Amino acid sequence: MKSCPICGAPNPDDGMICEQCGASLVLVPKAEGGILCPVCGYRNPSGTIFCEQCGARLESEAMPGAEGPSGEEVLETAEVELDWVATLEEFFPEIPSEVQPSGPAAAPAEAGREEEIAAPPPVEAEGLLSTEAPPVSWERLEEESAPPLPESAPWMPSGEEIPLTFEPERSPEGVPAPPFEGIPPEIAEPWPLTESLEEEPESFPFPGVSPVQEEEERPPFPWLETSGEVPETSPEVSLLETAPFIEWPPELDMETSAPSQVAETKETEAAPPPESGMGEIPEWLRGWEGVEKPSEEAIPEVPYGLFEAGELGERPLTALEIPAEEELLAQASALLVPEEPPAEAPPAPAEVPPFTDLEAVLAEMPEWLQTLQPVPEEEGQAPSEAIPALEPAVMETQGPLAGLVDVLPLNLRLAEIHGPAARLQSEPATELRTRAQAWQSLLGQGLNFLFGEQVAEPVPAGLGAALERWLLFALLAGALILGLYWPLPFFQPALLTPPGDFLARLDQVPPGGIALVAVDYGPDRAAELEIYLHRILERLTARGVRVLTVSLSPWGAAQAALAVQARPDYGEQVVHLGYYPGQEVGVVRLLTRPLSQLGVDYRGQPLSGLPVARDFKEDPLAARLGLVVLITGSPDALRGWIQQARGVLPSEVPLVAAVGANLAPYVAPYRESGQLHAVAIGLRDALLLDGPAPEGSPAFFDLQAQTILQLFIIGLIGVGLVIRLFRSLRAPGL
Amino acid sequence: MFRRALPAGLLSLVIALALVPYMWPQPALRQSLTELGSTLLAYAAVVGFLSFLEAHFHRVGARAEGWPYSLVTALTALAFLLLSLAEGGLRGNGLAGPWTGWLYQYGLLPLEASVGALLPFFMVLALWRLLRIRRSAYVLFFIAGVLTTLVLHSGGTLLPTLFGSFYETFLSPLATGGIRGILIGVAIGVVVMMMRAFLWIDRPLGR
Repeated sequence: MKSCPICGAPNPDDGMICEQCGASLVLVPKAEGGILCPVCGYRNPSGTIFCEQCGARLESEAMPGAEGPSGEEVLETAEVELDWVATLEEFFPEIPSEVQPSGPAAAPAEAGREEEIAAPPPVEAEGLLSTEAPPVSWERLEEESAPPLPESAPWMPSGEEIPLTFEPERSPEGVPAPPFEGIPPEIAEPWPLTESLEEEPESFPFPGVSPVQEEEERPPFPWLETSGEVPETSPEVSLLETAPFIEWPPELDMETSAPSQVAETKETEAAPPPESGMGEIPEWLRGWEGVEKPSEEAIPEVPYGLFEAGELGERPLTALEIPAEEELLAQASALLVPEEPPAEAPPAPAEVPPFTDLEAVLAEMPEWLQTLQPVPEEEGQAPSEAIPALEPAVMETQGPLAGLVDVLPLNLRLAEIHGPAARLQSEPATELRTRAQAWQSLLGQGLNFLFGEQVAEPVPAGLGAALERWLLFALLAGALILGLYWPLPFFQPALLTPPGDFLARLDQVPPGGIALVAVDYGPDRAAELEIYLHRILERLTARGVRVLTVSLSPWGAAQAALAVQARPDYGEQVVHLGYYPGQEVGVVRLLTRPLSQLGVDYRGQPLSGLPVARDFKEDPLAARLGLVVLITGSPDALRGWIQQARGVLPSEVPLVAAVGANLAPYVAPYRESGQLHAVAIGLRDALLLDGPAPEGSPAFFDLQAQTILQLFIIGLIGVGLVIRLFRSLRAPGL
Repeated sequence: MFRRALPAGLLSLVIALALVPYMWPQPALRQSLTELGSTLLAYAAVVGFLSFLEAHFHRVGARAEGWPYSLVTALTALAFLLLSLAEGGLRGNGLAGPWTGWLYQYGLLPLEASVGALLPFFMVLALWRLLRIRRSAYVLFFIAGVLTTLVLHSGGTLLPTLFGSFYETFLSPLATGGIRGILIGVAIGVVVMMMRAFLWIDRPLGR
């Protein structure tokens, strides 16, 4: 595993991109040099303007504290030249560069040493190889044996001394060619690739490209073709307006005449210079028609730089001869002469209708464009979304864009960190880290210091887990079926005692009295508690007691409805009041409500017409009740009924509960405190409400099945404990 | 300040009025407060149902994970509501109408019973797998509680008679005391919450 240099996340050894933050795991320079990004901390090669990782603008100077991420494994990277100088050198390897590459130090190469150029095209370096050029060498990715380069360049006249200064070529007439007047006579062939190679066809740098014939003189780039037609432009077009992106300094040093030396290209057969000293005007300069040609004295003798295709020297320039960037800038700026208004006003352009009919213009404007019209802001109100203030103009100071302003304005989004924040350089001390780890391990142990570390076995998966699961299910189902259909010898129902206290409370209600039965259980408890409802209703109605059933939950009301709707004595002795909303508040509301205001039953039938409500008057229900029975499986319902009813019911009215087995511990406090007078718990007491279960009866088998299941689970726990003990004895360390 | 003081003041007033009948018996006041509380609970039930629908329909609209289940749940709830309203409004049967009863008896009851029947099997399996932890005090405590319950309620055998006295002497007081502590804690918590609301201490009234 290797760590990401940005976020420190572990990544596979063969990973190219960090899985955590997306940073590249390859292009991380190994050397300590370079520029440290102030945003993400990524170390960029020298000369980089924008961070290669996050895109933030880098300072021109190298960041102090050039230290890479501590404790991280620096990835072995391919030493690729990334700055523009190295890229240029790949095309022109013979030209020694002023800026040394950020990789390993360039060792001086032997003179005439052929070097492999990794980037295409495989220029054999014929054209630019200078016999007197200082040796240039830099490490390449792979130094394989390169094909031998020819000793001389095709355009280099053999035996001639390469002049150190640039001198324009003399005109064929013998008249000295006018000094360079800014725009070279021919710039259609910036690259020395169109030179006729008939003399030395084998030296053509691009073997796959057919050389251009002399007769054609076709420029290699279509945009350099001049059609001869000069588009009409406004005479008022100034230099700055026509320049699309270049902002030259207003004061041009016209008299800058520093002898500049340009790299020579192949000697081209330049067309004879025009009379005015300016050749065919390229298309991008056509807009300056009408500019008075500067005098010969005004325009200094400046070369056109590397891209000069006109009057060029006869040899390539060496690294020392390449002018400085500032000089190039000044010289290039001298080429563009501000236009002067012509003596005679040019003809007026075509008449353009005045822009007066705004409505007509808006009518033609598409709707989506009309929505972009600025809306006048009210005074004193700032726009809802203020446009952020423009960044101050930034002037480039290095590279080919030196001197240009706002070439690439800082994009605010570039300042955003895409991905997780950089890791903190500071880390806790080793001592503190150890102490923190010790505390963490102690706190995480819990009670393990008493019983030892608990190591859980992994849950078995696959066929073994499935077999184990199905075996348990089969044993459980077998025990259930066994208890439901076969009487077992160890099961003695005589040992089971019915809930005597509960039955006694049911029998204390006088005949004709009113008992309230609260049914608050759902379908999940129906199998256990429905028996209570049926048997309680049977017991009470058999003694002439009137029963009112009610529920605080919709599902309880439905359960009670299923039990009472089919009774033949419904309406005479039993009536179901249905769902009473309000939870605990509903209990108080029901018990304090006058009987005459009970309204209707669960089917909407008025109670006043039923025999069961023959004596329902204005007295509250709590005053007429003789018994309250709670049948519930929910602790909340049990608590709510007991707490609310006990505060309203008279003390002589008993409150009994028939609950599921899960509420056995919950009813104990209420039973012992006397709030509940009697309790019946679970299926066992429900089956015994009618007395001991005779052998062979359904109640007998139900009780037996329940007992068998309980014993099976007890046995299962015992077997598990034995297995666990056996394993611990066999492997004491576990 | 006034926007927070008004609801806080109303809440304190209602709390005080609810406590008055317990100290100064006033049946009429108590009945009025009970009716008010019942009305508020009904309103809360309606709001809760609407919130339930909104949450599930939002999941459906956003195509969140499990949105088909949300769609079925919301549509089923709406169908039940409309059916009950129609039965109560058209037939006058309320919630106990034949349509609602049929859905409850042949829809909800079988589903709940099935889930309840599967529960013991998976509980036994979980208990068996719990035993695979090699050494843990918590597992031993849990197993001890399960064993005690099973032994004491395994009616029809001699096990309860063997351990009955031990349970009544040692374990029953502990269990009862634990339940009482829970109930007392719940009651105290309710009282404290009421006092905090009455005195404007609880959030968001206090801050």
